[in-house]
Amino acid sequence: MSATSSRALRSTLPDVASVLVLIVSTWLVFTTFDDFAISWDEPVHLSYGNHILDWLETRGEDDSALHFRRDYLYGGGFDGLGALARRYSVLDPYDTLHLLGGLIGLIGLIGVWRLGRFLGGPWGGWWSLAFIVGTPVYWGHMFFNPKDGPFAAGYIWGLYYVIRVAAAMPAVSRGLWIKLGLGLGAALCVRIAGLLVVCYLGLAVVAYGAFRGWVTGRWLEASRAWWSMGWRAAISVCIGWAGMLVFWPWAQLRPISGPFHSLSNMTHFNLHNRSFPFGGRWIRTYEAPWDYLPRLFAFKLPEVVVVALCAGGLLGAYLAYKRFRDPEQAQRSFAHGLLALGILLPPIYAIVRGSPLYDGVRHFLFLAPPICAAAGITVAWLQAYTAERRRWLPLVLVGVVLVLCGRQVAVMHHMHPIEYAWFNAFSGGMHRVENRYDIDYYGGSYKEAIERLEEYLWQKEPDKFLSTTYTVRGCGPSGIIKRYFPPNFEYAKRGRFYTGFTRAKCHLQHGKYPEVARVERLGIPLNIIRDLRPEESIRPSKPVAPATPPDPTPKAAKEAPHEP
Amino acid sequence: MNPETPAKAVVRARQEVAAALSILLDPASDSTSAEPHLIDAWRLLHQSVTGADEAADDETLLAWLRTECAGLSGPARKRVGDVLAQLIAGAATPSANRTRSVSSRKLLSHARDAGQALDHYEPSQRGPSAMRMIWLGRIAKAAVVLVLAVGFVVTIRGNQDFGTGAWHGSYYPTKDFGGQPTLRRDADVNFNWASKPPHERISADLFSVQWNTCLVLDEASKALFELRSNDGSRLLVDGKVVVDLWKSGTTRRGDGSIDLAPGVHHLQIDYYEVRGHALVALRASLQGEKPTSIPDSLLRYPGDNFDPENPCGSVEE
Repeated sequence: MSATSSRALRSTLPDVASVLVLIVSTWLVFTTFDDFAISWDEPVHLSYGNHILDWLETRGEDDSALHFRRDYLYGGGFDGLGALARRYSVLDPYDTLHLLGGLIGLIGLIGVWRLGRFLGGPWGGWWSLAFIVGTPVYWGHMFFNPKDGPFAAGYIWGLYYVIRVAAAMPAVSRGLWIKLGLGLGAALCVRIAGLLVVCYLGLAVVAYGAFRGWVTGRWLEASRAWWSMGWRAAISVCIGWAGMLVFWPWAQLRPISGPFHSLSNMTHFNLHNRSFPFGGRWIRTYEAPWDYLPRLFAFKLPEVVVVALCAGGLLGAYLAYKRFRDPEQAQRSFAHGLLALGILLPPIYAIVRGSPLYDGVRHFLFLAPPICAAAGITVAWLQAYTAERRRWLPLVLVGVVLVLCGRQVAVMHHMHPIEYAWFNAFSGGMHRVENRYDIDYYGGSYKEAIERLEEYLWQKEPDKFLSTTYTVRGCGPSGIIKRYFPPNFEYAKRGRFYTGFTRAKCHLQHGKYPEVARVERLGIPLNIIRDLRPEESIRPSKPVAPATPPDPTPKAAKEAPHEP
Repeated sequence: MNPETPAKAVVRARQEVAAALSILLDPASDSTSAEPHLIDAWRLLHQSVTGADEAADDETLLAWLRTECAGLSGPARKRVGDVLAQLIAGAATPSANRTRSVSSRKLLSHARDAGQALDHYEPSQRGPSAMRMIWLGRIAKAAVVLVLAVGFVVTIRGNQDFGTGAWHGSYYPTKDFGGQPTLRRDADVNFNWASKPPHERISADLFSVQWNTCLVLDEASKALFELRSNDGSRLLVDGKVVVDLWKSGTTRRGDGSIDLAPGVHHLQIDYYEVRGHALVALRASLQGEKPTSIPDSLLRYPGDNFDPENPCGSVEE
């Protein structure tokens, strides 16, 4: 092999590896989507999706979508698409949603890859992709979070195109402006927080004009740049805005003021003022300490991502300081600056504003993709930097990071399908977070818990299993728990079996009764099932006496049937 | 301009086109600055394609462009040739006397045409390793699409019966097995039609269904069956009623057990729906496992025209 082809192969290797990872990820989505439980949010979003379709089909006559809970304030991009998919799907409605969520999550993975590749070359793309695929909190939420999962995918694409536009300014092609519009639409159609990406775009335009004025020393030049980029950016925003309105009935009636009203409403969100564990103490939604988000991100992301992100942050700050003195250099770094902004601005805003926080990092899940991209770019940079010094150094770096990525795969395999509950070693490990943090806040363990209870009862009393109706109660919305029941299980408020997940310490309730099964991951319980029944409370079904069949041969058996 | 190889020349041609595009897309830039880049791009492309050591003269270049350049249609070749001739003429004019000969819009279109011609030539000119990479990229994209397509097909096939199930279903348009039945093969008897009809030829209420299949056992088994339905249903094994829920009303559940010898056994489910919610589901435990749907591997289709007197006569053990 010639030196040229060897070089070409080396530069293609990360791309080939990335495509292989995407293929395997796609295969995993198709083979595992029906393993995931139903989260608390899904029934509500399923109904909202139906209302949205009703609104569109009746051309506004059925206006139930306009006052459906508080969800009418949300863009229904995923919900509307889900309702449409359910109409033609042969799968169960929730399985359809899980498959759709998984596929949209895959689109998010591709977005991370593209962003990492754009800013960090083929190796940057590869590491970004490897990191996000190995991030359990993202992978887990992809399937059963109808709001934060799709928003994370939309956010990364919106951010990617803003960065590409910023890097290409002023020579931005028409196609790129249109793609930016679609990226903005993907973010805005799920959550109005997608306006953040619009802010980044505005900032990019303002900063570009300022650089232009700075470099040339002519501020007329700056104002021309603002104008020429500004109106094009405005068209992109209009495209995104139009995309946002398609599945958002309430905003269709007030296309300009509605989304801003929704934004103001969301920032004063006050539906869930409740208490939950954080670092061993109980705090309330409105009293989340300033380190809530930083600490949870440090505990929920893979260790290698956290370390690479910190290194990237320090390196970025140093380079920004060095390049800031030279306007041309500063413009070159601007794309990286936008990525940093996309990671830092949302949590800083939440901290400064004292926003209500709960359910781990789920509302800020959209930060995981850009964080993984930043970490991937940093590792790719370190790889190139070390290669200039010692030939073996990048090999060691690649080896270490690959081993850590491999460990993540093993962790996710073990946690499946409750990946999102994982905490990393910086938290002290899973056994240290038990009862100190909200772990399985979405009820991801209930599906497995009911399967375990069924298995236990079948093993223990096979003779009366089918003829007995077992009453079960759980902690949390009964509607979802019931969906996993076999025919001989019934939900009852005073059910004789109890299943409790870790939220609000439900799993510790009824502790005096014998534990019959548990759902466990990495040595800690995520759901405990207890037998609360005294013997006499088992209610046998009425015994069925074999009966003589009235007429086993159908009347029309001899008539010619229709062919199907 | 004296590139070493056709591969390098074509790469440089691409860079020239990119430079021209970046100037032309910048609203604040003077579009005439893009003209030299475009002229150089065509010269480099021609040099790469012909393998010449030196750049061709203007006439040869224009003649090649108007007649031979691949990747562009006939009218496009003529248009590109005309614009390039104007650019070359403009470049020969001393800069002090030069006026804008081609509008920026035309230049932009010209640059895109140059890109199109490059798209055609670049893979072959860059040599076998570049071609390999391009093909690798194409194969990778095709593989992702293939996995997606296979995923969809497998998911849908796994969840929808395409007429290959082991249960012979006769769907009657009345609740008492009267009228002309519609035949269908079902993979499992586990339906929750709710208030929807089970078939397009059957209404949502007042219908009945009979399913037949043959169960093949290698060893003796104490089989447990559970039937759940709304409205009435019953399960018969070898003509004997094992679960009887033959009653209208709400959703009911019943179970029964039977000792089965090794061999073939006929299973029959009769079901009728009066009105409201319609569902019917069978679970069984045949080998001591947790009750679930009967595995496909244990069932045989009795045939389209089976004999009711000997329904499993055509099934081999």
